[in-house]
Amino acid sequence: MSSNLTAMIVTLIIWIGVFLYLLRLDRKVSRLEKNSKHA
Amino acid sequence: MFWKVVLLIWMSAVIAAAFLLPAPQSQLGPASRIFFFHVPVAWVAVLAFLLSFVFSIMYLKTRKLDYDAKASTSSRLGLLFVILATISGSIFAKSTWGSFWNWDPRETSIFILLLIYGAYFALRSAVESRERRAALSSAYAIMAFVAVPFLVFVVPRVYLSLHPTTSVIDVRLQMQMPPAILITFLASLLGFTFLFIWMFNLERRINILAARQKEV
Amino acid sequence: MQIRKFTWATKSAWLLAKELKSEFRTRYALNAVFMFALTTLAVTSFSIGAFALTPRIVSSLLWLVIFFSSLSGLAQVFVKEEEAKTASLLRLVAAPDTVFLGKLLFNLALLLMLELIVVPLFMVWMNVSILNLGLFLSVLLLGTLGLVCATTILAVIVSKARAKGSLFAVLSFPVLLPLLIASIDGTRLSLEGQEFAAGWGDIRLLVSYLVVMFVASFLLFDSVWSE
Repeated sequence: MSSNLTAMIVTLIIWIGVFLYLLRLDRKVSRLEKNSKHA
Repeated sequence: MFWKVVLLIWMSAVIAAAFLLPAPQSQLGPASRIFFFHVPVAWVAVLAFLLSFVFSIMYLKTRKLDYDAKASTSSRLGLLFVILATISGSIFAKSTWGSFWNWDPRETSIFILLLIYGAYFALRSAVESRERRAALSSAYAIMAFVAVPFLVFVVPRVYLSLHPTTSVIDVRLQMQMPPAILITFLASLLGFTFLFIWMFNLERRINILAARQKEV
Repeated sequence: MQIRKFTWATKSAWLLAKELKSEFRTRYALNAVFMFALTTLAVTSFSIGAFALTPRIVSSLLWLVIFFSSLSGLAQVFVKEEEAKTASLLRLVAAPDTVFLGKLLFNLALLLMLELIVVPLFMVWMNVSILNLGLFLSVLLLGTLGLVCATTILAVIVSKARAKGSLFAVLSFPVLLPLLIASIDGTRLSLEGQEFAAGWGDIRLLVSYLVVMFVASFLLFDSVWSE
């Protein structure tokens, strides 16, 4: 596999990782917001 | 939720295009692909700085602490993006010109931005009262912002006369990019801007929650 | 309207006189600034020794000395007030504009006095001849003015924070960088003996910087001072 392709795959993995992390944060915050609204 | 999925696919497509299209600057080689990352990130860093400036003014005008929170959030994210821009630029410089740092106009400006953010947070950490911290850091953000245009126009004037121009500037000014490259670049720019907006919103919501917690 | 203007200007002058008088009594800031400058100068000259320096290096060193000396002394103007607890009294007695102008003029006087001694000393110790005196003096004056305009507001900001010694330097450097670059470049040109026109770009920059910083500080001063 060419180094270009590996670089691309690595970058994609990093991006997806960052994205999933942010998504998780987002979900946690939404849950907290809902809880504090009910409480 | 929908637009987050769009963002995911969008940036993935940008990454794919950045690697699969022919390299932007064939003389500079494959390392020039970093252009798709480095420039948008630097642009977001400057955008964040501009937002800090605006929010700071709004705070001083209205004295609503919410604006100060926005200013500091924007600066925090700006700091992150500036660090990313500096590192990516430096990697690019190393692979292209052989040295990590050259003090050319662009590098100097981005370094100054880094210093400004650092100073901003140093100031914030030195004040305890919330209102005072907001007022002082707003004032500083404004002074710093006002000083920056001089740097953008001064440093090139002085340094360009002494050192040869690095081709980073040429790459930047090259508006006659082949359409595929241009589109990918603009898409990257848009994508990173939306990433910034998402992160900004997230931190905003966290701050609001934390404030609500304190009241309880 | 005319009467108001009259009072406003004289109030600033009065403040300046008060600052000068109180400073003359203790000579605190003066001493700090002079000693710092003198020490830095002596160390620099000694460590360089007989080595011949290019104009560029000389001008950089000169402005470094001025920059750091001013940092050591200019914050005093406000820190002194906060420490002596006279700040609130001052706030009641004078409008922010007058306070700003008074302090600014005091800082200017302080820095100019410093330069009056340090600059000739510097030239002698560094064995440098100023080939274009007009340009040199213009750059020096404009640079000093700009420096004072930018740092006065920063000094207020720092005086209201938990003043760590380095905070003033940390805040000042990014803001002063354009000024330093232009001043160093202009001074270098004057040392090299280039004609005034060559330094025109730097002069223009110094003037616009000065104006912008003055206006921005002036507008911001009230918000910070009344915190």
